[in-house]
Amino acid sequence: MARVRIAIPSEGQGGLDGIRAGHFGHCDVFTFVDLEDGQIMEVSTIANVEHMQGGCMVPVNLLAEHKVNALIVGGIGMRPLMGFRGVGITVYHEDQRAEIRPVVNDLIAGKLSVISDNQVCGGGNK
Amino acid sequence: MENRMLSILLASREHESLARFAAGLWQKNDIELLHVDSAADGLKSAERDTVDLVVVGEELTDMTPVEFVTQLVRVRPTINCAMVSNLSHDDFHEATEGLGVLMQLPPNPSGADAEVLLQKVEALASLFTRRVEKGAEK
Repeated sequence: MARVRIAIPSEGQGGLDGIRAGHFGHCDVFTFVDLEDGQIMEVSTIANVEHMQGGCMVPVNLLAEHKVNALIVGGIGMRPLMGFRGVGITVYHEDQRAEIRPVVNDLIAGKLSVISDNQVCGGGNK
Repeated sequence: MENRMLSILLASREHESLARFAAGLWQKNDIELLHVDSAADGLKSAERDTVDLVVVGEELTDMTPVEFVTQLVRVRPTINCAMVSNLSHDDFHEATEGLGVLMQLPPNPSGADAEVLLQKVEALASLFTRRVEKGAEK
């Protein structure tokens, strides 16, 4: 059976009916959606770590240690993106919808694209 | 933090501009300083050596500091970075957003700036440590 854990940066309490955070590094919690053969088996959340300037690899390690396979972001910088690639977490891009559930459904349906280098935030996008 | 030497790479065409900063670092124990003039050598060192922190001066011999850091995060995103820049805070943030730069240093940074940077490195390391400790409690 194919088991996959998806992480979604979330505001407030998170959860499948929660709201996404615009930038992964500043989210309140990460919502984890565990899939088995494309079906949602379990939803859980973990608190994000304290954010400090230059500390974008801290949540990378956090998600790696929680065995996340895929991350859905609306925005991310080049350094954390490279970090996620380095630990084998696939980063998907969706910057149109605030709700968690529909983007999770889209990922399951194969409708989300893997983020490309020219979609990263800020000065690293060159 | 890990109980080993902190390896710091100084990347700058003008060594003299980082002299006071480097002197501040030398006063600390368990710090190894490396120095390169070019981004190319900096990237080689980042790939080859156990570098924990890169401090980028205002000029390199072969590319701009921002271009260098952009390439550096592709090669080794785990390396922390500080940059010397006379840009305003907002302009610096705009120029380096997404690159995860730990600290903007002023031109001709001092030993006191080195101290502040080391404190930030320590604070960052403690975030990892506290998180691991929290995980162990569960």
